[in-house]
Amino acid sequence: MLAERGAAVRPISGGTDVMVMIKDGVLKEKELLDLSRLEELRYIKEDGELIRIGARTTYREVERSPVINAYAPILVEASKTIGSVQIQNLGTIAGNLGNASPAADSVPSLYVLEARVKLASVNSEREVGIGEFFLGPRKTVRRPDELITEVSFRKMEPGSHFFFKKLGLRSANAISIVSAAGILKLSNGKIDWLRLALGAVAPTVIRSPTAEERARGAELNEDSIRAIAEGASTDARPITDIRGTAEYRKKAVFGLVYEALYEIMSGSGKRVVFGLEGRG
Amino acid sequence: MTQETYELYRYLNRSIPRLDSEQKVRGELKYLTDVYPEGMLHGYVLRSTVAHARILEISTEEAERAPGIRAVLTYKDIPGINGYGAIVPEIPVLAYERVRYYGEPLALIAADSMEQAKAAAEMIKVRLEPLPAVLDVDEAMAEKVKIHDKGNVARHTVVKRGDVSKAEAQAHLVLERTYRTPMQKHMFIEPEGGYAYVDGSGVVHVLAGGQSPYRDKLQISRVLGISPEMIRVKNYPTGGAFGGKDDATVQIHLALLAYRTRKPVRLAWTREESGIAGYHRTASKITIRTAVDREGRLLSNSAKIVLDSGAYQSFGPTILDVSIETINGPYRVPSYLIDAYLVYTNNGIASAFRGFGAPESNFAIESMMNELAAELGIDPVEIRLRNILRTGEEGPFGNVIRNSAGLEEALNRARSSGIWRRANGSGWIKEGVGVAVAIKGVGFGTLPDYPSAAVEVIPEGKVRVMFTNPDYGQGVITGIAQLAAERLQIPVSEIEVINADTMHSPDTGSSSASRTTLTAGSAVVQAIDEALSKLRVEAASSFGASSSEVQYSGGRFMYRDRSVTIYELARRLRQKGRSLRFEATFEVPRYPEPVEGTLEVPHMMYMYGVALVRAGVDALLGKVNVKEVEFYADIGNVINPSIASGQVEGGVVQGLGYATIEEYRYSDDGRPLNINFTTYVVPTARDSPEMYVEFVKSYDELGPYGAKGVGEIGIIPVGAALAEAVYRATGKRIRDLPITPWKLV
Amino acid sequence: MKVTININGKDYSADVEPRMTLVDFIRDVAGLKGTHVGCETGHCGACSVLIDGRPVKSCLMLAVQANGKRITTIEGIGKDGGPNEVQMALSSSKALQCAFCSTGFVVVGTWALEENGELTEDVIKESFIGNVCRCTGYEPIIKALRGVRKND
Repeated sequence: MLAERGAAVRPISGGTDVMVMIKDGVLKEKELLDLSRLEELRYIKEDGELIRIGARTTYREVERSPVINAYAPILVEASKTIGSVQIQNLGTIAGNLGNASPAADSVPSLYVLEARVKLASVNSEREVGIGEFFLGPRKTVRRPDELITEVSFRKMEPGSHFFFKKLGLRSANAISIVSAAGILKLSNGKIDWLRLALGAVAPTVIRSPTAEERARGAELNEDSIRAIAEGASTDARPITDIRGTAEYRKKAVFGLVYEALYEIMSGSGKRVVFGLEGRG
Repeated sequence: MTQETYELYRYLNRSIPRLDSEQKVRGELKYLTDVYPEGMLHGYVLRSTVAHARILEISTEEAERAPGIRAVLTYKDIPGINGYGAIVPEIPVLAYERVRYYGEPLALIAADSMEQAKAAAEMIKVRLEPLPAVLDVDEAMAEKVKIHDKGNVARHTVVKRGDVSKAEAQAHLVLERTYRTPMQKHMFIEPEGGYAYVDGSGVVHVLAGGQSPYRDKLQISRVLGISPEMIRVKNYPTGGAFGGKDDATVQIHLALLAYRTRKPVRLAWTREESGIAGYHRTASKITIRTAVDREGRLLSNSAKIVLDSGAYQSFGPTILDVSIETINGPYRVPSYLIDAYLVYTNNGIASAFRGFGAPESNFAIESMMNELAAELGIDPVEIRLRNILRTGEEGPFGNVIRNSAGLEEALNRARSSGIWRRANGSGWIKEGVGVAVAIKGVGFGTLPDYPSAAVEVIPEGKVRVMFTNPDYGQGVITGIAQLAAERLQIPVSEIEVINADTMHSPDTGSSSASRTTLTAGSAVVQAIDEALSKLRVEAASSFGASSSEVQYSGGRFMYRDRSVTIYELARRLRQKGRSLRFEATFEVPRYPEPVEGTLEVPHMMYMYGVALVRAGVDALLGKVNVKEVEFYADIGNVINPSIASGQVEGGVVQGLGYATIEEYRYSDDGRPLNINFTTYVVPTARDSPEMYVEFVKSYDELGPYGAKGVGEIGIIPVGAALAEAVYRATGKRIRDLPITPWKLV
Repeated sequence: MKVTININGKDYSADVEPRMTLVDFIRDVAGLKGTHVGCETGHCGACSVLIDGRPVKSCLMLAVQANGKRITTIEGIGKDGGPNEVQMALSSSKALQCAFCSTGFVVVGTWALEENGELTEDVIKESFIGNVCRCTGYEPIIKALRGVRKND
């Protein structure tokens, strides 16, 4: 179907975004391709150092998966913040990718996991890095004849710290004003490396090179945290919309990153412990 | 009945479950948008997609010929008057000559299917000549673009007493501040909707979510040009209203379509349509200047109140009155000068919303009281205790204060609350506690108000109680049933309520202005007295005694060793062909004349409330997290404590939404921006704070069994109390609601 | 397209438009009006139903996607012909007001109780973030449900 009439067809997975577009009459495509029955794309697999998640896997399944809880708990954190349980039961990570909203809450974590997205058509298959997958709001490199079939990434390093923070107007079930995901490796009080991604501050989710550069080799203390958070704020290129002004979003990026790193420094942050998610 | 019998009630002061709650949790209660009558047509409204324009042409010929189309109506097809509005019938039922807001109805369609209706709407030829949209009150008052030929000020009035400039000259401190509050959407979960049909005898039945069946009936009759007797309106059940269904929404359109097609028609707005065309709370801009002496006693208060009415008036004139009445708070204000404006803009129509006018003015006067307290170094509860009016004193509008002891007690309770000691933030979380006081009149002030109700004694063992103030969730069916049970001394299970149906009940008026307990309660009690006096005569005659010798207790009349139940008496009356239905009309006590410059100020009966809000502010993100709210209120005697405290809690959370995240907004060209639950964000369970509600002991002899009202009091003081909590936490004074994160970092 | 959906133990078959939502199927085809529509964008939760025992918002799903599935709506919830534990707790006088949202709360609450055995404050606040109530302010709902246990 996609091979023949690709441009006119919108693949629909959980449908939590596409259904709203249908109702609003803004869906460009004339036909829908229902993927909800593709049970073979519903899996979470360990493959050596890699984790593979089938496109049809729901947030709820991600959140409940022992494999994800052990090796990629940052994705559990993110999945829990997606809408509500009724949405988590329908929505899929592939759908969040396909919809390409810069405020999508599963995407920043996939950026810091350095995930790869598998795209397949009738006679080809390719993988692209998450950073290359998005072209802009609602735009991706997916060709009309392709489907997102899988997302994969390396297991998180044991002992690494991580966070996913989102700021919405209310406490839950709100579209993010800004969000931030980070993984940080510490040894002897020094930061080996930080991977930091920011949501809702640019046309796509972005990594923050300035923050990551400032973190490398730094002692984890209030000064470095401030410098890193300021770096993240500098990298943010937000716009003003109904959910917040550009100026505020830059400040909020600072606040989110500062608070997250401060929590790690003070020992209340979250940490990867294989087999179970623990506090460190 | 007096206050001393307080503990003796059998069915009052009791938290019985709602009479309709089991049906509700089982999904068996059919809301009026759940009914799809046999053979119904689908109603659809074509709306303007510009905010301000001259109408050059609306042609429907092609649409009328489209498949499945049963009617296409424009202003030309209105048999009666093309206007409605709760106060002034100036709102076009269908646009004529001008369009004044985005979403204004241009044409109505009835079709066999919704798809056909929408397809036909596309075929209607609409030519509009755009005019500049005026969205701001200051711009509107400059009168460069006229929204209405008469000008952009819908109502202007000055209300004054004493010599303000003299008072200011003698004052220790005079503060002037400008406060703003936003438009707020009701966001009831059931959007506006219902159905209508014409019966065999030509009566037009309109069954739709609403708050005032008899007003709906009157408005429909004017537009259809037929007698009100040929119209029946039913409003129960309604899935939430809060004022947003007080003026007409779908009712008149439904009636027009059913009347024209003679078929059942369903018309239900989508959420987005509700977001675009539904009503909202008036935005306010209030500049207030207050003079005090060294001890913080108020000497004078001046206010310029500007309310944004949107394109038309709806309840605007009375909203302005409530804002005038509440701008002086519950305080002793020797002199004041209130300059009040209701201004047209090309925003949608502002109308009733819980407390209308009061939350707006309350934010100004109560924020001012908090600022004065801070300037003078006086405790914020103490400054209020120094200024509140005591029983017997004359209020600022010449009204004598009755039963306000409750406010003083509520303030004392607030002062000794442990909440003040629980504010302890750490790190980037700063915490503070704020206080504000609310006053709100019950009912329509000096406007004449004669609510009627009926009861019917059913020989099979029920007493049917009929009144028209709709129960859209407040629990009035249950509360009024408790009052009836108390009066009759029979169990609540023997009371059956028919609510909000003009076919069954006389006119008890609307559910609004916290008036249902007072109006329906008093009228029902009187109707019961009427029934009992008639039944007493019947009982006496059967006993061979005189009426005065007959005792009544627990549903029976007794004489010596003989007794007869009201149901047996009803059976005998029925055999004689006599009516078992008894009606009564209650005259709401009021002052004979309004204060000069007002329509309905003052009221005779007031509710009072004191809100304490503890909030944490994330100093880095600017995000406010409300931890705890305590609310001390004087609502008179409490019929059902659980339902009443639920009214306060629900109001408080709507107030917190209003104060933190809710703001209905328009684009620069007048298009509403946040019209659904995705973009217009309301609190969720996670945002709900710990709440504690306490009713101080109070009894108002003007109300039924000492009860006053409760619906609106919770929402009113929340904004000012939260703003003070934020100030205490951060040192930042926010004078424009909502307190969004970007105002704090 | 021909679909058959099992709702509350009964099969409903109809030829439907591919873009018909599940909630429209429930209300218009099956005629079960206890599932309410409050927003059509998946934000209010009034249309919550269970699919194979798990809660979803039926406005966000196509009827064709539910083909062959088992759906439980408010009409299929209860115990021995009467209300279940969640319904009994919510019908206490202030945990509901207008109740247009309540059927959604009952559906999600019934699932949460099944899943957790007991409704703690955390479970409640976690489970109901997708259900909007504009009347009660939530705390009455939280208090009414807190401590409710499954009793068989």
